[in-house]
Amino acid sequence: MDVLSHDILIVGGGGAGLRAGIAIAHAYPSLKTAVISKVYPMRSHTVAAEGGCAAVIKDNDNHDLHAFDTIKGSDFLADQDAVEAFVRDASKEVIQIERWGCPWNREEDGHIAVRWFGGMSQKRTLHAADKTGFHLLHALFQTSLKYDNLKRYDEWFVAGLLVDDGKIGGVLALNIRQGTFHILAAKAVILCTGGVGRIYAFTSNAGIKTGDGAALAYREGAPIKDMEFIQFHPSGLLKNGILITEASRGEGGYLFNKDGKRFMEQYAPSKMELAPRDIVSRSIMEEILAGRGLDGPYGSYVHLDLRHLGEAKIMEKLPMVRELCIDFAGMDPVYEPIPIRPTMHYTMGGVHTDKDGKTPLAGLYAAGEGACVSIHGGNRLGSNSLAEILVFGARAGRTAAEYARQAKPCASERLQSLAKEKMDFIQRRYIRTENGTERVGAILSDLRKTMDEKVGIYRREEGLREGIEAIQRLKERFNRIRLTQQSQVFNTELVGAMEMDNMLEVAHVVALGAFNRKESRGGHARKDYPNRDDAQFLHHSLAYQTPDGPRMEKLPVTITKWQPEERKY
Amino acid sequence: MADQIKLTIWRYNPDNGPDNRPDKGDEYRPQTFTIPYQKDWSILDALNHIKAEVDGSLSYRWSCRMAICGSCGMMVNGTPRLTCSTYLNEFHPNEITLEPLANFPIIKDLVVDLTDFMDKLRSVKPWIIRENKKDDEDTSSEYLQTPAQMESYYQQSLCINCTLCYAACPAYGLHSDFLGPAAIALTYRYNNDSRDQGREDRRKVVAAENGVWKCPVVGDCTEVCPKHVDPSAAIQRTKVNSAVSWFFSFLKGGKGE
Amino acid sequence: MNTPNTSPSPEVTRTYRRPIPNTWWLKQRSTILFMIREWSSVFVALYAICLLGQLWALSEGADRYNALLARSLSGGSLVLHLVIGAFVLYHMVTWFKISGRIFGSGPLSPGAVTAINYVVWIAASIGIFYWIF
Repeated sequence: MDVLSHDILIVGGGGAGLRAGIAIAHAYPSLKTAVISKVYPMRSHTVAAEGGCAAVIKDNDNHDLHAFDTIKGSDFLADQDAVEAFVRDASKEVIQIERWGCPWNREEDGHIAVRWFGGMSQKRTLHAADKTGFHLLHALFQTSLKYDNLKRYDEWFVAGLLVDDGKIGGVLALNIRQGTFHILAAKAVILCTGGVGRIYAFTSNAGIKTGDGAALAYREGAPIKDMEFIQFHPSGLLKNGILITEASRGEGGYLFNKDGKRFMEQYAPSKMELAPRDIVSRSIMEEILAGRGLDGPYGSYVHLDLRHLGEAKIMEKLPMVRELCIDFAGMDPVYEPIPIRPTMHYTMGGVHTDKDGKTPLAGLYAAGEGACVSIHGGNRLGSNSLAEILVFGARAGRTAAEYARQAKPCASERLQSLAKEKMDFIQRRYIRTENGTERVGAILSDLRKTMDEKVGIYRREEGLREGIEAIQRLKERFNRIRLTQQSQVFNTELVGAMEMDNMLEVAHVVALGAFNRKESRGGHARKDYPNRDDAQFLHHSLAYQTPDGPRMEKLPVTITKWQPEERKY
Repeated sequence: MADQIKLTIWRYNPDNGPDNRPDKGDEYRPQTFTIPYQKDWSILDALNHIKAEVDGSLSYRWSCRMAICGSCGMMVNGTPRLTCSTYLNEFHPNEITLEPLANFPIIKDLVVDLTDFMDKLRSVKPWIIRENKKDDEDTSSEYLQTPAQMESYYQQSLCINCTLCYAACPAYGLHSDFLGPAAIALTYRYNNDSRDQGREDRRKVVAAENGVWKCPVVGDCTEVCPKHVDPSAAIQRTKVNSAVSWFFSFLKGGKGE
Repeated sequence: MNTPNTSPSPEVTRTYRRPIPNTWWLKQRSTILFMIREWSSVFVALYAICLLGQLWALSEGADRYNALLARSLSGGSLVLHLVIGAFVLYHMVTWFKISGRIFGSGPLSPGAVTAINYVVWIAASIGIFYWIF
């Protein structure tokens, strides 16, 4: 195999990956940098973020407030030094992206406007109508085109990391269009691959969200962290969980049960509909479980009512919500309440990094949803994730660049032999499948059903045990898959199989982490352990791959100035 | 028997074909799938069903399934559409014919080659250009921009790069060197952004032979745009602007570039 | 052009470009109307030639001009003028509509711009009518 050499490879072309790429291309023009992405960068799931991006930019706000809101939102599992760095950088990053053309909504005088978001004690969410992720991603992508020294591999899939003696040497990647595998050498690799939403059936996440980065790191011995913390967003559109932004509540929307009661009065009287997502989602589930939900062909739901906002405000601030409702639910929120139910939305966990994006594996970095710094702890506040991809994308980019400047490249012969080993594995596992019987599609749909049922919003010991066993059986079945496409060209079946393998690996860690954490904190709610237990569980969970499944370790939480307290809204 | 629907999908596989002569079309052929009809399925749902249950070798692009990533455009009964937001019930009980987006070379099945489009997108310099290069590094304060100033380019900033407009554009079909609707709309978006100073830089590309003047004003680009970007208006306005500035530069004794 | 997205491998997969038949424009109403508009420019040019011919005749004196007028009243000529007139009218209507799309933005809607076009056209026609008679 030929070797294509680079200094830094960024895996993933979404917000975090492009931000990292620009950071390096701009400040380190002599480094050979490339972004490798399994889809064209502007297809990345950042594009689907709607509500906004949090940062302190107004005089009535300050960094300590933003930090505390984030930490309280995280149910005190966030690392506070990382959060402090995050809120400081976020204020600069949102201006930076403005200067790169992001069309933030404005005040009449031309300054950037902010809106309310859940769990925030101030209005601090910048937004571009309700297409914030779309505008942010396209601004980043278009700005990235300015740099001749930022190479791209569009529609390439990373099949494995090449690690030599505990140090990154590059990646083995599939050129999807040609169906050929290549060695891409690099001194540093930054994983910006997003979360693992597709392991759930009812999810707001795109088809590409398959946890690739977490699985890549995990297989090479880098730990993944806090995977049991999955965020369920309160407003997933029936029937399939498409996101209706939290901004619809930030702009004044109400939640009603079937009796027409604003039930949030009962659960979060001071914040009402703008409590953090984990709390609102559980409140909706409580209403549904108590029989106060509405019923339809797609199951039980509650109403998100925007009608009192009026058509003009909806068109100005929430045009995409209206578009989505009309196109995907056949109803118009100007005249009807929106049928919603909590939808799997965000992976708080990810590849374990420090606040500069560094992982324990030399030369490996991570940023964005696929990384876990952690600033979100047990529950992420809405609009902190777009800020996160900017802040930590840039930080990881700079850290990786400093490392790559002094690191030595891996010897070419060594890369060849590492790649050959991986290639043999790939041939055996995914390509030579004539004797197999299992369809990948069936395994995927069984996994998604298992995760929805056993590792959903509410978790119980019994269900989790069943879930873990089911995942182990699915892993068994995966050993016997059969692929039908013979042609190499644009073989999405092969890509799908490798993604499926990644999802199984990560789902196992999600379920086991949830099983081990015998408390309720943030997005992890155990019916059998309904309270937070700081004495035993104020720690992160690290998962390491072993032949017998994940090995879990504990990692203390960094606390600077905010001691854990009861979390009430 | 449960209700069914027929999908005829045009397929192409560069590795197949008795003569290996794609110019004869012997590898580009229709295949009909009959699947259960679900009235709430999008065409993309139907494709995912076929891929998972019937024929795993079918290739197509998709991702967000909420009409914002721009991946899943195809010719649906001859018209370019996003398949995630086009539903079977619009056609049932009639059958649906799916082809890869028109005017693009086909890589495999419903996957087309976007290399040319990506190059064109980059050629119009779609980023904020400032006379003072240091401007974009200053993060102490934002550029001011009033809502009215933003309004003047906002519509053209909504393009998701789905390339339906290229599939609808006969000029692009006949002359693939035409810059095309989305790229010109993007030029318009940056040229009309009060923060940008790059209009002159872009004129060389947009007003060139393969720029706006290749557009014969059919208007189908605007008709098929799922985000109401109205590239046709952007192109025609750019023609007017570039004609006017040509005229004034001519009056001033320039070469009328 | 220098694109960062060039594939690093020399072999490029064989793509298939579908041929475009000469009848491509017959498949859709919008392109049929478009082709009629394109062809209508030929008639606009014919009209311009007619006008130039009349001017030339006029410059040659009253006799020449009156002879031309007499010939114009023949049946064939009338039919030709009706056909030309219809195409020119079609050409005008489509451009009025397009100009609405181009210039209609903000407070001035596309419909308003098109309407202004018609108003100016009718006003000019009336003005010329009074000027002549």
